[in-house]
Amino acid sequence: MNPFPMVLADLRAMRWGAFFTIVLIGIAVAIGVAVGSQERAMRQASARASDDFPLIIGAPSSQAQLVLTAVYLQPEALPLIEGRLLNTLAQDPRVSGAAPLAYGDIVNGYPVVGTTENFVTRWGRLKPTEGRLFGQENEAVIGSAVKLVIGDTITPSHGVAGHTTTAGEADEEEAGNRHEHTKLTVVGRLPRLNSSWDRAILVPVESVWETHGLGNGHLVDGGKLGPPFDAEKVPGVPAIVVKPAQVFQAYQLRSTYRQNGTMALFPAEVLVLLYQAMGNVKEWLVFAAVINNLVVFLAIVLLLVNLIGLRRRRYAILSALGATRSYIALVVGLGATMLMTAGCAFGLALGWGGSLLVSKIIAGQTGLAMNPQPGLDELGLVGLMIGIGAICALFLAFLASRGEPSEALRS
Amino acid sequence: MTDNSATLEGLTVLRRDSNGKLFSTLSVPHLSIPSGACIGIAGPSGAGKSTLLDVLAGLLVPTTGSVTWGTTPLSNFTDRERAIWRRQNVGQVFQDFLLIPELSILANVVLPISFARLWATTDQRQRALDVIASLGLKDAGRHAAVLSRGEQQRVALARALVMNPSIILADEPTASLDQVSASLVTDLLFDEARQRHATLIIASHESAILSRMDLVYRIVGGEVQEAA
Repeated sequence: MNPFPMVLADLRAMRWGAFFTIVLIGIAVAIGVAVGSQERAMRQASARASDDFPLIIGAPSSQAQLVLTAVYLQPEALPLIEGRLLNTLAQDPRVSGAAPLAYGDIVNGYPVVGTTENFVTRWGRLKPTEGRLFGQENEAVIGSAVKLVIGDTITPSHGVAGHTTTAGEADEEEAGNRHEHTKLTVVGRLPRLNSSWDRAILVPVESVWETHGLGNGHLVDGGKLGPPFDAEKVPGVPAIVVKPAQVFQAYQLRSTYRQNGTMALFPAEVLVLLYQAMGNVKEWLVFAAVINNLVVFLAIVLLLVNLIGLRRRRYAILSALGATRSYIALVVGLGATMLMTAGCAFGLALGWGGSLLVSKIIAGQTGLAMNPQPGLDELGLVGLMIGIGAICALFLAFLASRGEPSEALRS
Repeated sequence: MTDNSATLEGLTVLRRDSNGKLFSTLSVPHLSIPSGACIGIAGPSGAGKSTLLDVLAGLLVPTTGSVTWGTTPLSNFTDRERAIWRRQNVGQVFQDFLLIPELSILANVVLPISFARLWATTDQRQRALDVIASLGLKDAGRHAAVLSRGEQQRVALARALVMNPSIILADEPTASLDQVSASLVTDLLFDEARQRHATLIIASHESAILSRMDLVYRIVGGEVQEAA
């Protein structure tokens, strides 16, 4: 038997109903798909972004805030730790590398981060795609997404608490807080990292200290940049990134620097807590989406039940022409399954598309590049919905195949 | 040659009125229809002509009694068996055509073939196109929704004839046709029936049709009587 001529005729007969059925199911399914894929993409992107920060040391305060500021460059005033800790770490055999991170200034809405060459190159892994690394206090290296060119001269502005910046735009607040005595020249551009650091301007940490009238951390001016610093002169810093020599030593270092006025943490341990919170929220959102899907399915099934009631005569025609009940059930069941499957497929595409759009917006705001993909959870959700749709279709098929054709023809 | 005779014994069809009370719409104590005969069913509207055709087609199961076509005890069949028997043996033209508006003329005509096969064979398709052409229908790709009543009636007739049925049942087959078309349709029905020795049963008010029948039965108040 070939039910398709009748299935297509049915879909043509109820084309607007079919269209809205697909759209409604699509929207319902898309919500679940978007929530799941977005949450996972956020998790993967944030974890990837923290790879360059094996251990962070800061002053005792909020662990989450230290990670958000150090790794994701979310502006916040952090308490400082003593700068001479940099020398201590430099001499610690368990440490492969240590770099200060000094925040607070902005240029055109981009955060200015004072650090050392070994962190700019991520311990030797990165090389500038344009120009070179900074070699003097008044030079800067920019992230891949910073809209400046090599040779540009920039003047940093003091970041003000609560001031929201837009990357690439200098607003009145920024213009009013310029460190007019500081001029920096852009000398290099880093490769794309798919993190917030793509929108950062990296300068020697000495430059940040000098800009704020704290000296340059060295005994003499105009000397070599970076460590060793002078223990007496080196100012405090908000955070230090530490690369342990061995994995097991990371735990020793964390333990060592969790006392005597410092706080040490692995970004991953903070992210796990954040993910747990995100996971709980996601589970509730997905649960709500599934309930939402079931309600939509139920509404559509009720609509189709009514429609089948109205179309009893149409199916009686098939019976009168010699169609068996199984043929009629196949026509109705296949039509309903096609509608619901098309709705689910549309929802998968819509949810994925929506997730890509949201990722693009988030990337535009934070620089955190995300690549949302429908995973097994989302495909499972779509499969579940198709399964429920098929069961609904069977129910509809059973309803349509019942009844006396002669009665229906006279109705 | 296939035995296309029919025997109806002790047949009644009861229905319920709006108050749920049973009333008789058809009563046939005994009726024999010879194989290959052309039978007319006459009677006023609502007398039970369509009901009798539905019973003969196996579309309606009588409340009591039996219908036997040749040696086929239709009354003992299941729904599925009756549907398959109907598809293989009966070509029925309904009073209100019962076309699928979203299908083309050709698709409507070959629709019963899709109940059993994936596709119509080349021969079946050609047969459908020949019947459509013989009824004066042009452009078999037009949708049924855009056809006039007369054209719809001819499509319904083409659909009834396409499977070469051994039993042809027609309910007022010329009601929507002009005189020329009515004559064409009637000639085709008789030609098809005679060529294949099919039994032709037509319910009609038209004396021009009834006068060509071998035998005419009149139904009055659900009772079947042989016309004078």
